Amino acid sequence: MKVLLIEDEPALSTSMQQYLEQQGHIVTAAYDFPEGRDKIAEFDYDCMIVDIGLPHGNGLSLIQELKSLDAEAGIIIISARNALEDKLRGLELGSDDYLTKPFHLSELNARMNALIRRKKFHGNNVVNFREIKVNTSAQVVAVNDTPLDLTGKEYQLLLYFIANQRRVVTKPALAGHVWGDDYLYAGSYDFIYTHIKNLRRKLLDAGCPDYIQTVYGTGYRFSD
Amino acid sequence: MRLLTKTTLYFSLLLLPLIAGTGFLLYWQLKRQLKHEIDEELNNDSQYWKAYFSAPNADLAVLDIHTQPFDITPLDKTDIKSPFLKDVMLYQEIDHERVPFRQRQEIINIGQQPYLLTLRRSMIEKGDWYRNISMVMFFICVALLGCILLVNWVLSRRIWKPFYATLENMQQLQLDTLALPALPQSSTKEFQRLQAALQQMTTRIHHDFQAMKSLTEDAAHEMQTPLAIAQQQLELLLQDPAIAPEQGHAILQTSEALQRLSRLTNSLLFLAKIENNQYIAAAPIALETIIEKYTQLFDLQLQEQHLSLQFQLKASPPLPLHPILADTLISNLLGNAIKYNMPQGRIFITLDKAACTFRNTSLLPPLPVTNNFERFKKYHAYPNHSNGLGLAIVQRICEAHGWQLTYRYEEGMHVFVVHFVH
Repeated sequence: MKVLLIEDEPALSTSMQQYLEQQGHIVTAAYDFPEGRDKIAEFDYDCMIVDIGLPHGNGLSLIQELKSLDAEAGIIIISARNALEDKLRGLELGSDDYLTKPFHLSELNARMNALIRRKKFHGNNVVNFREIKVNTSAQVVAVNDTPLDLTGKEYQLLLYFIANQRRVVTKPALAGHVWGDDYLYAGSYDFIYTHIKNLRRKLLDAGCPDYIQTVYGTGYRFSD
Repeated sequence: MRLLTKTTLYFSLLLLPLIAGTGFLLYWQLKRQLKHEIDEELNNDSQYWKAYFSAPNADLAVLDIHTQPFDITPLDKTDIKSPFLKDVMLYQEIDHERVPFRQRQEIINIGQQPYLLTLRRSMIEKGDWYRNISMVMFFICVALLGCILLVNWVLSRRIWKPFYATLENMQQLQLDTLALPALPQSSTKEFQRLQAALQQMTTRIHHDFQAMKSLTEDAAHEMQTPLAIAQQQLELLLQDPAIAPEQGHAILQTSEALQRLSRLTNSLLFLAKIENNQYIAAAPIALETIIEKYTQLFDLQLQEQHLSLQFQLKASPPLPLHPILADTLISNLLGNAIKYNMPQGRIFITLDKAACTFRNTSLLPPLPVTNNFERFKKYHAYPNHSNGLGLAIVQRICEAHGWQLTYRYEEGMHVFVVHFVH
């Protein structure tokens, strides 16, 4: 998938580009407002990731620009300002999602995948990983065409794993994705271990190999 | 009491005794004057009769006249004070009632015989005079008073008009809107000064508000960006297959420490924003829905610790609270009740129109505070993600809405109460 990444901080831009490219996306990077505007006009993208605070302009204006071209691209705002006005203004202008820095790269990737599914296939999309088929519009999972009964949280975990396949995903990133940032008010995220264990058991029972590998000390890797 | 009512009242209180006193003085003076006149007339009459009786050709048939205005009777004793003037009441046939008379008595000698000459003047007509005069006086007074009050009222309304307009404007002042209120023009010097002072003050407050707002936003940007760089580099580093498990664990810990720092920054900036009144409620919010939302969200943690949760949510009026503040308030209080609870513990939540109460069991001793929750104050050495700001934030939210947060330890339970009314 073609992604336009507009971020003025070179270090952030590079790490995001690197991670997304590892997950099979084609990333074009722009580092300021005029460059972003030129790239928008030149090519079509599936998704635009845009920072609000840019040199020589505001990221929100780029969203307007993109919308005026009737482009189909999904838009994710990334901003260091956790300001409600920015979020609302961005949604008003037609952005699809908003991430506050710092965020996990795996989270950005998962959200981007979900967004593109929603936009491009109008939600009617099947995500495959080997013998696992996830129908994201009906929210059903099948292994070798046999339906697999998963809870809501397990379903979310599985989708997150598939989106970030073959990468190490940390527990904080998993907990933050599935339970939101509020989970921290109630203490540690050790509880996700139970859910991963259940998901792994269900996949094994359905005849899958053990895809969920524990990476000692850090988290999990979903890999064949 | 309104300003206008107050000045009118003071004016009336001052005017009423003044006018009543003047009226009384006038009446009294008039009465004295009239009496003096009658006495003068009676004296004149008396002189006339004395002259008449001492004349050699006086007709002594007069001595038989005994009427109310004129009476003459022979006298035995002569030790009466003479002449003697006084007010008397006599019965009058025509009116069938006793009426006031002014009476003058004097002893005169006709030949060698002493007589008592009594002359009287009816004062009933004069009484009518007094009544009429005082009535007119009274009407004049009332009209005068009414006029003065009306003029005062109308003038005050006109004069105070800019003041009321200014007051209205100040009440509607919203800090978050960029426009400063346009204060009405006035030719009154005092109001001009007031408006100038207000204008200066609102400009300064508005400027401070804007400065604080951009400071929190800029600070967020400047602090979160380097954190994000470090965070993402670590995440990429984790993907390196050559990383040993111990190294991976160290990277994760570093990453978590950065997350904590990031959350701390957010919390501090959040506190600053609450204190800067940046969260203004657009619409009232029902707290029970927020409580329900978070009990569902924390459902897993409740199950993990085998905690039993009980509600008593009475219908309470929606509160003027910004959604973000409502979320923060409930997630902090409920989160604490879960985090510091014990296995198999209990949580009770009650909500009514006066207060919202969170009670939870715990293995921890009572907190050494009742109502002042300081920043960074950790009441327990607890190895978790607490940054010591949660309760300080809850308290600031309460203060910003005129509510009060209190803590007590009761029957083995930690009790946090948000009092909506003082």
